[in-house]
Amino acid sequence: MAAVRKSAVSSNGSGLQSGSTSRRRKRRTKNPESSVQKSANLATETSSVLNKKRPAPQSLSLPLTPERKPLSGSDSHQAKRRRYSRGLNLSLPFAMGRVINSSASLQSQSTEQHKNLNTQLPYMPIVPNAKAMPLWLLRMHTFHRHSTGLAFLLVAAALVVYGWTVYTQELWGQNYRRLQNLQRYERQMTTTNATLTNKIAEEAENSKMGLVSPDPSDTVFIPPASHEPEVVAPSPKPAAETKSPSSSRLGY
Amino acid sequence: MPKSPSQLKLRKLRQPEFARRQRVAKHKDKQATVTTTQEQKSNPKFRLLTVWGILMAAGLGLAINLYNLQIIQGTKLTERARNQQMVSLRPYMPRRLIVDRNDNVLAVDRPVYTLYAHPQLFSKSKEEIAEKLAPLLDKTPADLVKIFQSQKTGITLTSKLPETIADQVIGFRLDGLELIPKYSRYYPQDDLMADIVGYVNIDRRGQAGVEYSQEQWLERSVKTVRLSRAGNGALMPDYAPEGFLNADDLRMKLTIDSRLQRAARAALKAQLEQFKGKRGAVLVMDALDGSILALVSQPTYNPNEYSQADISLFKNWTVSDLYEPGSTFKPLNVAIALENGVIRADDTFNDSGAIQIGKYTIRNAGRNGYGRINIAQILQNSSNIGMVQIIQKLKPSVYYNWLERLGLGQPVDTDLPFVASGKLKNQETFIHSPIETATTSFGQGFSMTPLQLVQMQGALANGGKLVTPHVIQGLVDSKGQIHYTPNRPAPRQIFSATTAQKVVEMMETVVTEGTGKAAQIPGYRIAGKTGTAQKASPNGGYIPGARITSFVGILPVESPRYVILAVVDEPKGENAYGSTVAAPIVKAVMDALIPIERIPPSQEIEQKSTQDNQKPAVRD
Repeated sequence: MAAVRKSAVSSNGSGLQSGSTSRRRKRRTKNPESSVQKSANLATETSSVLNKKRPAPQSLSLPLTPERKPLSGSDSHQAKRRRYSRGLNLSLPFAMGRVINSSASLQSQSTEQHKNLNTQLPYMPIVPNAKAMPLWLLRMHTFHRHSTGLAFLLVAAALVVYGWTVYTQELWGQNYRRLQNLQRYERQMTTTNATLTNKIAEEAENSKMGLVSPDPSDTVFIPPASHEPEVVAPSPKPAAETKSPSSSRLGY
Repeated sequence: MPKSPSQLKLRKLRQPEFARRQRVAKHKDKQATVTTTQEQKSNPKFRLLTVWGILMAAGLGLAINLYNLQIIQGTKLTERARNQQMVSLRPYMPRRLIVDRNDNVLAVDRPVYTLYAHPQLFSKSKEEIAEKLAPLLDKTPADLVKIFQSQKTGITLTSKLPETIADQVIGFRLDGLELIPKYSRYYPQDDLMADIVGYVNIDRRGQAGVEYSQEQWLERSVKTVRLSRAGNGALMPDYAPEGFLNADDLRMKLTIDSRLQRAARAALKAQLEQFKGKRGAVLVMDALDGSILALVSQPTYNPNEYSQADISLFKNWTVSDLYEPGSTFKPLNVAIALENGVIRADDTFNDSGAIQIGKYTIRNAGRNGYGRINIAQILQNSSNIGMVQIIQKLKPSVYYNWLERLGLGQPVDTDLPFVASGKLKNQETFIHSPIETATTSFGQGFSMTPLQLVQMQGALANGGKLVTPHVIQGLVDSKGQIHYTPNRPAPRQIFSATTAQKVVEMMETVVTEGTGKAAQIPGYRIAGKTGTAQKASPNGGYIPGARITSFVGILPVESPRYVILAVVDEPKGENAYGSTVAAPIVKAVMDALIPIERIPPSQEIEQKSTQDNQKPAVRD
């Protein structure tokens, strides 16, 4: 049930449905009206937020606009339907009056209106002055919502990147330790190898084991065949690798 | 939407309660509004303002604090953080490896640790710790306990703890022990390569040999890297500069062959012992490119314990000491004369046993004359008179020029350090004093280093070019790829190839028929020349009874490649000449060289079929 507004009630313009539709219709166009509008806007916003939580079966929508358009049934009908379809039901159960009271009381300038309404419409739930929302506020609101979402995403991304950084550092540390270990093994192998080679060569030199150094008289030279590469067989003595049994490339 | 009357009625019915409440509320409101009208304006607004003010003040305080910390104390705090978090590292960037021709390791870096003990930080008793450490440090536990009791902190237990033992010490996890790492150079071959490789002192600076002369290629410049450390001590790569982990595994490859070096050392040692020589040296050079295959100098030192060695051993006397070459220089004089065309290969001279130059009489070493001999025989018998007569055919200024072209009086270009430059009289004295040319003709009166003589004999061996004797092949990676070769001057042609070959063939007769018979090897054509020179005294003149014997050999004659020089300083005894002391060394070295380099025999060996006319291909 829509609340009825008698246009003669207040001069300052507490708009009813029709006013609301007109207001909504005029939402696109900027309404740089008095601050009463802003307070009304805020009030409606708050009330809309509040009212979304408690949808009443009877939606008493009392948008307040400064417009003094005469109430037309068709308009209000449409408005109501529109409102329903949009889901912006400003339903004002009776108990919400107090809430609206307090919200309206936040704006000092609306108190007068408020008082007016109180006196004129005793049973009417108090609706704060619904002025047209200033555009910057709407924009700020949308921006606020978008930026909240964005901030959320950024925080999530930052956490992911941080986690990945720590992970790569961990990996690097592990691999660095591995590298150090491998280097140490390589070092030890080189040193041990070289020392062993030297030891063996020295022992061979002492000729306690009966090793003889290779001699030209012991070497066998085979002349090359007509088209085969020259084959040279060094001394047939088995342990003739005495000086240092190290990498002679064609050796054994 | 206009309400239906019924609705309105319903409304009205429900009104009263609400209305009452409203009225009550309104009453209250009215009352309240009267009183709180003013407050309503001020109270919520005031509260709002106060809260806003408090928050803003808090925000401002935070901003001020931020400014204070970040900007005013910023540098100080970063300093403190850095000190706590960053650690200076010298990543493992050792000196490069030195390897020989066959990739045997000659010098390698390894970390060693200095072990400090701080007894005042011990958490266990001194005896316990001494028990644990004693076997690792080669001391008795009682000794260690005494050491611990001597000082409270900062005791050096040992300064050269190898890595494996250090690991064990760390594994004990004892408090109060500190291990400081540092690098130390290890020479696995001990004293075999000491004259070539040299050694590195405590500050890790090369002091002799290749370690000294190639310092810039061996030592890798690494700046200490400051790395950030995480809470658990692990390193973080945040501030690591580009490529701070060593990426290249280049090692320095020498031309030396360890097997030949060992054989040469053994031969030299044997002769030195037998003749009680003061010192000796053996040099083997490949005349084609100047790479040195063996360089032995006795006595020598162990570079792992260089501190215990006599410092006079640290220099390599084959490059740093001068000596008068004596008869080994005669083939070069013959080459000069041949090249100049003043003699021909089959010219003969009369050796009467003595020749008078000014107020000096020159005699042969054996104080006998050989009669009419040709040039080959002059070399075979090492006749001084013959040489003097040959050189007298040259104009002194031309001769002097030739000597300078050979490089006399200048240092040899080589990559070993501390090269001494030979001494040659200046041009004036030389040209105007005939005795100078005479003594120079048989190798006395000037001095050079043994390496220089090898270089000059190499010119005879490789067809007349003076090459640069060098020890370093270059920087090679682990796969055998050469990455860097040092710049060497190009070989310069001194003699013509025919002259050089003629002289070498004359030298062959020395080995087959002359004083060099001790160097014969069946089946191989070997050229050589003995030398027994007097040693110059620093006070002028010569030291009586002191000789320096040498023998130079070139192998094989049909395509000469290897030059071997053996020098023994002051051998004692009656029979101490180049032919008896030095020639056997060269023979032993050639015995080892032939199988190592796989030089095929030049002529038949008893039971084999003739390979006389076969010219074996020159190796590699």
